[in-house]
This record gives sequence, structure tokens and C-alpha cells, in this order.
Amino acid sequence: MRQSPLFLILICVITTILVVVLTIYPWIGEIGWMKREIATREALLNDKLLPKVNLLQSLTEVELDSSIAALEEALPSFPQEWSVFASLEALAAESKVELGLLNIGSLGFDEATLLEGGGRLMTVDVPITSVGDLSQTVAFLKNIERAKRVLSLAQLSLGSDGEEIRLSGIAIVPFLPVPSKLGPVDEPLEELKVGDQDILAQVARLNLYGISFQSPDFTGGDVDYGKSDPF
Amino acid sequence: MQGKGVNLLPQEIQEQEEKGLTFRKVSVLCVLELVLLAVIVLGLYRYREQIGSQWQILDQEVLTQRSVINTEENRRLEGKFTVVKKKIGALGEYFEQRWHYATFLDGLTKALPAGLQMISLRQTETPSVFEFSGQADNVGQVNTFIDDLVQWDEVMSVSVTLLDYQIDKGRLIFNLAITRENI
Repeated sequence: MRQSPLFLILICVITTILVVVLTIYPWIGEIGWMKREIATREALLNDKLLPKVNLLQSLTEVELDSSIAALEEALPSFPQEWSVFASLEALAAESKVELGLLNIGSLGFDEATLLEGGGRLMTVDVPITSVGDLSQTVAFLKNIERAKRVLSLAQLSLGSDGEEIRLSGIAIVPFLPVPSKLGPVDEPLEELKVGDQDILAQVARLNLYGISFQSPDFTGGDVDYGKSDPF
Repeated sequence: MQGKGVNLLPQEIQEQEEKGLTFRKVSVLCVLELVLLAVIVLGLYRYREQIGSQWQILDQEVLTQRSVINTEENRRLEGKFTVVKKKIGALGEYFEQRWHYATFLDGLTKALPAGLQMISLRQTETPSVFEFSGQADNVGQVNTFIDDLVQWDEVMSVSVTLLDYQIDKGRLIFNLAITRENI
């Protein structure tokens, strides 16, 4: 038996099977898993984390605060109805049109709605009427497009008696509640593109009757915009 | 004939020698196979160690970068940057959809020929369609007005929806449906 080649072959086969089953197969599985993990981590690092770190390192708080101040003026985080009234009245006065009674009615934006709407554009709709001659009415429409708090008209209707033009429509004034929570650490951040810079420049060109929120000690996120409503 | 001599050894010894030879051959093959197996195991072990250390380095790098992002200062910057991005995105869409009424009204009134007067201009339920109502002294003025409107690059189409000639008042009341280009 000891000199039997069959015995040797048997021992050899059993050893091979044992080594394959107990060592090689689990190691191959482990290597495959580690390779997949490496690919995942490389993708996470190269596509998300490193660009995010680089982007964060290129940001300065002062620049961000100044952008937020300009954007907050154009598109506040809260309805701020009082600033809508103030803007419309100032625009009408500048254009020398006579503005009818402004009435917002019931808005129904409670705090929960605003929090739920984080990141979604919402609007304050104000029916407006004005009376003025043609050049005044055109000036009013032009000034609406230049207002620091962005607004636009809808359902425009003009009636003329030959001298005066009666304008009626709905001023649609948007606001954008900001998200109340930050995303996960791994969530990528996209850099500002050329188009985004154009919009910032466009906002900077809006130059009529803004209500500035910027104060010398402005720190962006700490400001409680519009929460106190004088009306 | 010299190479093929007669083996004079007894049959048992010959069989034993053959068995011993086979056993030695199988032994060598088994040893070779086991050596090969050991080489494979050793190679795999080294590769596994290499991949493992690569994975650990990457894992450590991920943890480092996460902790860099997760500092209070960077999270504050991220929050502010997110607000800037969201506001810019929303404003971009808003500016794109905003109608420029001033240009339209200015252009429209400049196109009015002498003797033709605007009574009303109303945006219909379809935002790009306006209903223009006016009065003119004659059809020629209305034709001139329509021709000028059609040539204007802000207007896609113009159609007459009402022509009412009031003989007693000597005037022509007309309505037009003006469709604006999506600019």
C-alpha cells in the first residue's frame, strides 16, 4: 500500500482539492470583492470627494456671502410680501404710472410649506392695475424687468381710450426656500459654469429698487430673512 | 541484436523493478504538482496582499477626504455654495421663461400707422397669443399694420378675427390674434 502509486495520486488529489477549496477559492472571491471595492472607492474619490475638496478649497466665504446677498435680494428665501409692495410702488412711481390698490389676499405659506418647498421655486401672485400714458406704461413694463427683486407679469391686459392706458395683470414674484439640511458628505458639488456666471452678472445688472439685506456684519446663513412680517 | 538481449532476471524481480519505476515516476509527478500548487498559492497570496494594501490605502484616503469635507468650515462653505447654486439655477429658468412685454408693447405701438388706434391688448389663455383690438379709418390702415407686424421678428403670425365697419361712425373696428415668437 505504501509503495502504491494510486495512494500517492489519491493523496495528491485530496491535497489539491483541499487547497483549492479552503484557500484558493476563498482568496479569489476575496480578491474579486476587494477589486470591486477599490473601483468603487476610486470612483468615489475621483468623481466626488477630490473635486469637492478642490472646489471647497477654491471658495471664499466673502465671495459667497456677497453672491448670496445679491441673490437673496433678487430671489429671497421667504415670500416677503412687504418687499413686493415696496418694489411695485417704487417702480410705479419711477415710471409715473398710477398704481391701483395692491392686494395679495391669502398666501397660505406657513413655515411647514416653506420648509417642504426647500429648493422649489414658489411665487407670490399680486393682481395689479395701473393707469398712465403709453410711454409711462412702457417704462413701467421695462422697469419691472430691471427690478432688483425679480418679478414678471402674466395675464397682461391693456385698454386704451386714446390718451391713457389702463394696464391690468398679475405680478408673479418668485421666492426660493432654501434647503434646511445639507446633503451627505459624499454628495458631489458642481462648479459654477459660464452660464451660472452670466446669471450672476444678470442679477448684478438689476438695479431698480432693491431692498438690500446686506449689512456690514453679514454672515449669510445666520440671517433670518423675512421671518418677521411687518404686515 | 545486441540491444535486445534476453533478460535473465527472475520474473518477480522484473515486476518489482517495473512497479518501483512507476512509483518513482508518479512520485516525481506528484511532487511537481504539489510544487506547482504551492507556487500558485504563494503567487495568489502575494497578489491578495498587494490588492489588500491598495484597498486599505484607498480606504484611508476616502476617510481622510471625508474628514476634510466634514469640517465645520467646509460644511458651512458647502451650505452657502448650495444656496448660491440653487438660486442661480432657479433664476436661470425664470429668466428664460420671462416675457419681455415692454419690448413687445413698444414695438407694437411703433407699428401703429397714423389714423389707427389701439383699443385694447389682451394676453389670451395661451401665453404667446395676444388679442389686439383697434379702430381704423379704413382697411388700408389695417393692412399696413398687419404687414408691418408680420415682418417683425417678434411676431410669428397675425390673423384677423373681427372686421366691423361702422358706417354711421365712419370707423372700422377690428380684432387681431397676434402670436409671438418664443424669444
